[in-house]
Amino acid sequence: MKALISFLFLISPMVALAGSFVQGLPDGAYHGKFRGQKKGTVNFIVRGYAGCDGCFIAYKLKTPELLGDRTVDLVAYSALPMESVNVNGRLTSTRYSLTPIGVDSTGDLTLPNDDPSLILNISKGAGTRDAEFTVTSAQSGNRLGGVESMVFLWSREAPFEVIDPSEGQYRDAGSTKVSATVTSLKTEEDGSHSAHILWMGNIRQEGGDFMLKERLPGVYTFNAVSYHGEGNRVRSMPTFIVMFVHGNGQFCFEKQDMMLMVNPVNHVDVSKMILK
Amino acid sequence: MKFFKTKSLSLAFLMVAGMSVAHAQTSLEYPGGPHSGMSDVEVKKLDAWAQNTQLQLTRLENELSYNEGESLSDSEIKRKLYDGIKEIAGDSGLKPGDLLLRQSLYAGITLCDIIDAEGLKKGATPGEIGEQVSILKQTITLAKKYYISDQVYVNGLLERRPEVHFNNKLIEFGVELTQFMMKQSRKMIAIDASASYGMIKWSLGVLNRKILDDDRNVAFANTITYLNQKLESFPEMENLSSDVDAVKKIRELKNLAKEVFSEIEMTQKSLVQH
Repeated sequence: MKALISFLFLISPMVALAGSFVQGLPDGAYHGKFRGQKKGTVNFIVRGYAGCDGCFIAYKLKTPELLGDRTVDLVAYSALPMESVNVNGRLTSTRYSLTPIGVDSTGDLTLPNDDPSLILNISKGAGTRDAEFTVTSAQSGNRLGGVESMVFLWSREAPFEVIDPSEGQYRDAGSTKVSATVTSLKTEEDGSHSAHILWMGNIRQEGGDFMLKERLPGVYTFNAVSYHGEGNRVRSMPTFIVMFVHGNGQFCFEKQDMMLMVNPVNHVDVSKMILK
Repeated sequence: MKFFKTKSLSLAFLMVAGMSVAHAQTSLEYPGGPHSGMSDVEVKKLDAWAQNTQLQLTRLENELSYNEGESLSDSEIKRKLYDGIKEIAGDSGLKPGDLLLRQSLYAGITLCDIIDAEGLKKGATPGEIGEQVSILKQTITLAKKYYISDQVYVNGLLERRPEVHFNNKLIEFGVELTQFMMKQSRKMIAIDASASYGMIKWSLGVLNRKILDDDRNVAFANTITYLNQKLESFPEMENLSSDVDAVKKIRELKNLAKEVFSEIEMTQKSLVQH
């Protein structure tokens, strides 16, 4: 009896894991590689939301070989379930369409192109922790955020997790001179966060006052505020798309709260701001 | 004879489609509607209403544009926009006689109601209120655009110019309104899938109604019947079995929209050629 209990205890995580392959990707962060490339790694952060059971928001963070140096690419996707693949009546894989989130001409955070750029394919594993999921090009013509193939192992957890923003001073991982101060953090009726940011700017962008608003679950916009005789106005085109993560910061083994800011049009030029 | 037969068949299609589509259309707020023998005084009243509405909308935009930073939350901005627009749009319900300005505003209000209804059921998702603010702001932009074409129409009535018709541009209006609403539903899918489905389905229903109200409806009889039959086969938003089902149905509705837009374009081209 004792042996049986021990056996069940041992196999239960595998059974649970095998089940989760067909149901979808559990919330979490996954670490993978670009297929056919020796250098460079990629992290995939998955976060479900109440408005759509079975859908999730995915964040792709492309990093160079050395973690903690500098993130070079950040794209948020709307992930929606597609038809499952059945062979001889048996479910073999579950697929999701990944459509990049960006800004339209009015500055609204949206899906600029309705067509997905990537397809995520979860193969039904045999219960082994080395089973994988892959991300490949959707071949739709939408190339926003890149269409390189990626492969992820379930067992390789990425060193990041999505968090809510915190008030305080953030400094640029690459320069001690650049800082951002997050104040007046508020939560709206729908659970979204907003805050005021005083940003000191960097070489590419001017500093000043900004409004931070959560437009989609975990995806924020960073819009400049201008002051006039009649009051203040918020510029409609965001300067950055922002997300907050907890993970490897300036030093490889030190996990910190960070604000990642990316150019909303090309999804590169990422600034990594670390909470002091 | 063949032409007569085709025309009779088309009218029969229209009657069937009309019975299903033109529901919940009660009496107009301005008696008779702007295109059916209104007196000069009534037309002048309508003109004044449109001008006043345009001013109210501009005032609403100005009031909010200088307060967005810190003093007003998104929830407060949404409430102000929603109440302000609802007061103007009233019970339009996309009635055939309503000015396009008013119909545009009504569409924005309805999209917000769809999002609210789903949010109440499942619990709100971050971004929902921001999206409603965006819809209402863009609705005002659209309404102001149609205020210009409404003015041309009202001036035509005042000047007794018979060539100025109200019902000969409804298809173009319906297509633009539907495309606007479908664009808004695109982002909603990443917030609430069933609300996004509800928005697209309602939008296509609006398109069908606008084609039916247009003077050229006979030429579009096949499209009206096809779209109406197809829409009837889609479940109501409340009856979707799951969010995954909503996502699947959204793809089907998008395909249908693509098909209908292309049919409308083809028919419009053939009308121009004849």
